[in-house]
Amino acid sequence: MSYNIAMVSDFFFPQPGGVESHIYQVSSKLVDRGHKVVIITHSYGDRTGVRYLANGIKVYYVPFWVVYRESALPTVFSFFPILRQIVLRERIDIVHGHGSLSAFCQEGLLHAKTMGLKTCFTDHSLFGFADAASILTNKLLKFTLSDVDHVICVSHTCKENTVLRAALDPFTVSAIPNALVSKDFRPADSPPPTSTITIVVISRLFPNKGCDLLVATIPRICAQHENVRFIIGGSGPKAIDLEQMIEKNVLQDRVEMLGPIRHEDVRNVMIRGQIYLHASLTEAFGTVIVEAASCGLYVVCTQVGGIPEVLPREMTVFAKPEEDDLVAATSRAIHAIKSGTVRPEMFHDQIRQMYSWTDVAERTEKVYDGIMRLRSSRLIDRLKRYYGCGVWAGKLFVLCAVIDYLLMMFLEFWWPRRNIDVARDWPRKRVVRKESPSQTDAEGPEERNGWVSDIQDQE
Amino acid sequence: MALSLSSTDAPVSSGFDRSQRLSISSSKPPPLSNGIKSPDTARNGILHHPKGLKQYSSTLLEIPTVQASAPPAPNRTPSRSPKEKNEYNLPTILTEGPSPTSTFSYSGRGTIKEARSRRRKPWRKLMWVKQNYPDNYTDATFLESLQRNVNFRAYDFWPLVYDTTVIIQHISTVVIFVCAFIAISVGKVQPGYIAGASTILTILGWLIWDDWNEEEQNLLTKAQQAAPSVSQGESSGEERDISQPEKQKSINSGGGLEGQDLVDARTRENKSSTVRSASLSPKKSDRISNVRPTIRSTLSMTPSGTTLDTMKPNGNLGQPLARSLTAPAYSPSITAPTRPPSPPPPPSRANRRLSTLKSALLIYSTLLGLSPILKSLTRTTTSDSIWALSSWLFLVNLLCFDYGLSEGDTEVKRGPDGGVQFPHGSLGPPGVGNSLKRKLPTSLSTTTALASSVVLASRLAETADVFSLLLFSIQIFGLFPLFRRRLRHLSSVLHVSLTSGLILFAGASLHYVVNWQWSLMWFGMVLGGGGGAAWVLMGMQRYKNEIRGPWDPARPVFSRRQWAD
Repeated sequence: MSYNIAMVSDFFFPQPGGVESHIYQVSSKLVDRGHKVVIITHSYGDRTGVRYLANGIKVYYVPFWVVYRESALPTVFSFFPILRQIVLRERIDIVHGHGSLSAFCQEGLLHAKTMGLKTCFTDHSLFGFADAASILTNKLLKFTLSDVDHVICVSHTCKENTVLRAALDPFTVSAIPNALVSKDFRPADSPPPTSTITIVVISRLFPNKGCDLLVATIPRICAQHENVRFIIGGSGPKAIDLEQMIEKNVLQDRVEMLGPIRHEDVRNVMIRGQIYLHASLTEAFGTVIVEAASCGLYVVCTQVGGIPEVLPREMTVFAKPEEDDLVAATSRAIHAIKSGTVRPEMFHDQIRQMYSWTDVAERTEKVYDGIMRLRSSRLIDRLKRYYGCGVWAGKLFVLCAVIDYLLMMFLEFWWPRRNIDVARDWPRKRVVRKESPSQTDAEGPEERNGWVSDIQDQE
Repeated sequence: MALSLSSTDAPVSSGFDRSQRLSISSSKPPPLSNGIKSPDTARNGILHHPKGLKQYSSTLLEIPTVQASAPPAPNRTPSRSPKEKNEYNLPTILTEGPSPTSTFSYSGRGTIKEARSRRRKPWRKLMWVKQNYPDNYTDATFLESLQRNVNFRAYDFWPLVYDTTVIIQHISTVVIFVCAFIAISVGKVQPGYIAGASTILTILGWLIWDDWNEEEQNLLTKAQQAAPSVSQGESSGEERDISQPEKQKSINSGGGLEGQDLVDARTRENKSSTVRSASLSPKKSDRISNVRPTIRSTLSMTPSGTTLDTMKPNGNLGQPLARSLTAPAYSPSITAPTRPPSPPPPPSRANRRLSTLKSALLIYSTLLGLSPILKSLTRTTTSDSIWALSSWLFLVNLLCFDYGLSEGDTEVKRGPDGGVQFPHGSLGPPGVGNSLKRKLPTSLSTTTALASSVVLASRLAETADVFSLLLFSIQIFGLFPLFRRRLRHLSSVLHVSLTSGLILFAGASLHYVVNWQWSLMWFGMVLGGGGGAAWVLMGMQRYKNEIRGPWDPARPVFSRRQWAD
C-alpha cells in the first residue's frame, strides 16, 4: 500500500541545513519505496511555482511573505486555499510537517486536520521553557500538535522535550534518528600522518554552538601540544571572536579559518584532520558528528542534548561543557590518536551499519502505516482537544479551528472539488516492501544521493 | 491523541490482557525531579495509574483534561465492537506482540516471540544501536533527567518589603510634588516657602554629596598611592591639619580608631530628615564594621532629629550636629580655601564647587526668565486636558523610572567577601573611577516628570508660583533621585529612614492639602503595595514550575575569563 505524502516546511532547498536535507533524503527514500511525495515550501527569491527534483519529487514553492530567517509570516488561515488546491490536485493522504519554528508546517497541520487528512510532525530541534520566544512557540505547538496523529523526534532527548512542550502522550511520539549518505562521507584514502594532529571544527559560528568555549580552549590546546593544528569551517557572528583569539595568541600558522563551507565540501575538509571537535551547547541530534565519524575522525564533543545518544563510546570522547574538561578531553583524544589506540578509519563501516536514510524512511513508513489505520476524528472531538489546551488559549484555539472549518466550507463552495484537476503522477517505482529491514544503505547503482548535485542538473 | 491498536480480527480478551500487562510493566512511575516538595505532588507530578492507564492529569504536562478524563477519542479506536471500545482506553500504541494479523508491527525488530520473552535486553537511551523495541517505546526512565525548580529560592517577607521601598520612595515624591502644586494653586502655602525649603534641602544634600565624592577621591588616591606620603597636609585650613594625619593614622592602625574618622553629616533632604554618616576609613573591612554602630549611635544621640519640625529651627543648618572632632569632613563655610595639591586630584574640590555653583545659577536664572512665558503657555487649553496630560506623564514617569537594581548592585554582588553594604570605591581603581561618573537615572522618566510639572505650572496664576513650582520640580525629580540612589547604596538604615520620612511627609501633606481620607488612602496604599504585594508574591511562589532538562542549552563554564570585556 502506498501513500501520497505532502512534506510541508518552511525550510527547504536552496537553503542549506539539517532539516532541509532530512526532508529531501526521507522523501527520496520514500519514493524509492513506492510512495508519492510532494514537498510544499515557501518561495525562495524567484524560485516560485512547481519544480521537480531527482526521483520525481515535486516541490511546490508557494509565494509567501517571509518574515524572519526564512520563516513565513504566521497567518493562521491564509495558507489554506493554496494548500487545499495542492492537496486535492495531488490526492494527498498524509501531511507531514517539519520543524516547529516553521509557520507553514504548523498551518499545514491545522488545515490538513480540518480537511480530514492524516498528519505527522517531525521535530528537529530542542527548545527551552524559559524565554519568551520558546513560550510562544510552545503554546503554538501545543495547539497544532494537540490534534496531530503522530510525532517523530530525532532523538530520545528531543522526544522528552517535545512531549513536555506540547503536552503529548509519549506513546504518540517516536524517536527516529537522522541519517547520512554514508557514501558521501568516506574516510580519506590515505589517512593524514599523525605527526601533526589536525583538529577540525565545522559548525555555524553562533553562540549556541559553543563558540565561546572554542575561543577559550583553542589557545590552551595549542599551548599544551606542539604539533596540533586547527581547521575551523563555517561562518556566523562569532567568527570575529575566533579571529580575535587567533591574533591575540599569534596562532595564525596553527589555526586556519575557512569561512562558510558548502555541504558537499564538508567531507573534503574533514578528511584533512584526525579529530573533530564539537563544542555545541545544545543539539537535538548532531548530524555533523556522525558525518565526522563516518569520515574517520575521532570525535570530541560536549555532552549536551541528544549528543550522547548518537555515537558509541569508542568513537567519541565526551566532555562537560566546561573549558577545563574540554581541554582535557581533547588532550585525551590527541594522545589516543598518537598512540594508535583508536582506529578512526574503521568508523565508516560501523556508521554505515548504524544510520541510513533507507532505514529512516522505513521507520517513517511504519509510522504512516500506523496513522493511516486511525479513524479521522470528528470536528467536535478536535474542538474538545483544542479546548483543553489552556484556559484562554483553549477558547482561542477552538475559535481558530471553527473558523478554519467554516473557511473550508466556503472553499468547497467557491472552488468545488470537481473543478480542481488532478495532477498526473510521476511513474511510481515498484513497491518494495520487505518485512525484514534492510540492513544497510544499499549503495547500489540506483542509489540517488547528493541532492544538491541533482538539483544543479535540473537548473 | 491515541494511536490504538486495531486488532480487529484478534480475540478481544487476549488483546486486552496483553495490553494491560505491557503497560503495567512499562509504567513504573518515573522518579520525578527534586524540586520543591509541593504538598500536592499528585497534581504536579506525572501520575501513573496503578492500573496502567496512562493518565496525565498534571499541571506539568497540561494534557487537556478532556483527553485525560474522557475515554480518549473512542471514535479513533477503529474497533468495531462497542465492547472493545470501552476496554481500549489505553492511549498507547501497542506495538509489540500484536495479533498476527495486525499490520502495526511498527519497527519492532525481531520476531514477536522474542519481544514477548523476558530475555530481551533492557532498553537503552541510544540512537545508534538497533534495539528490539518500537520507535515509540517509552521506557520507565522517560523524563528521568527532568529537573524542576532547580534554583528555587524562597523569598522572605522583610527583604521583599525592603525592596519595595525604592518604588514607594518615588511614588512619595510624586505625591509630595502634586500636593505642593495643589497647595500653591489653592493658596494654602506661599510658593516662596516651598521653593525656599526645597532649595535649602537641596544645598544640604549637595554638600553631603560633595562629601561623598571627596571620600571617594581620597580613597582613590590612597589606593593609587601604595606608599603613604605622610608629609602632606601642612598649611591651609585647620581642618586639613587635623584630618590628614588622622586619616593616616587610621590607615596604619587598621581600624584601631574606630569611629573616630567618621563624618556624621546631618541632613534633611526634601522635607524629610535623615541622618547620614559615612566612614572614611580606607579599608574595606573597617568601613563595613564601622558604619553600622556609628549610625546607630548617631541616631540615638539625636532621636528628635528625625522629624521635620525639630530640624527646622537648627540655626546652623550647614553644620553637622554629631561629628567627631577629628573628622575630616568639611564644614562648608570653611573649606573654601585652597587645599594643598596633594597627589593628583584632577579637578580640585573648589573648582568642582565653583562649576556646580555656576550651573546652578544658570538654571536658576533660566527658570526665572522662562517663568513668565510658561505661565501663559497653556492658557487656551482647558484644565481637564492638563490634568489628564499630567496624570499620564506622571504615570509614564513612574513606570519608566530606573528603580535601579542595575547600577551599583552588580558591583556589590561581585564583592569577593560578601561585603554587602559596600557599594563603590576602594574596590580598586576601576570601581572608583566608575563610581565618580555614575550613570544618571533614565532620562525618559525625568523628562516626563519635568514636562508634567511644566504643564501643571502653566495653570498657576503668578510668575512667582510658576517659578517656585518649577524650581521645586527640578530639585525633586532631577536631583533627589541621584541622592536617594547613592544613599541606598551607602546605608540601608538611612535608606529606610528616608523612605519612612518620605511616606509620612507625603501622608501629612495629603492631609494638609486635601483631607484626611486621602491621607488614609495613601497609607493604606503604601501598606498594601509594600506588604501586600510581598505577601502575594510569596504566596504565588507555590505555583512556580520551572522545568530543566538535558534539552536546555548548557551554560559553559570558563576557568579564566581572558576574553571577557
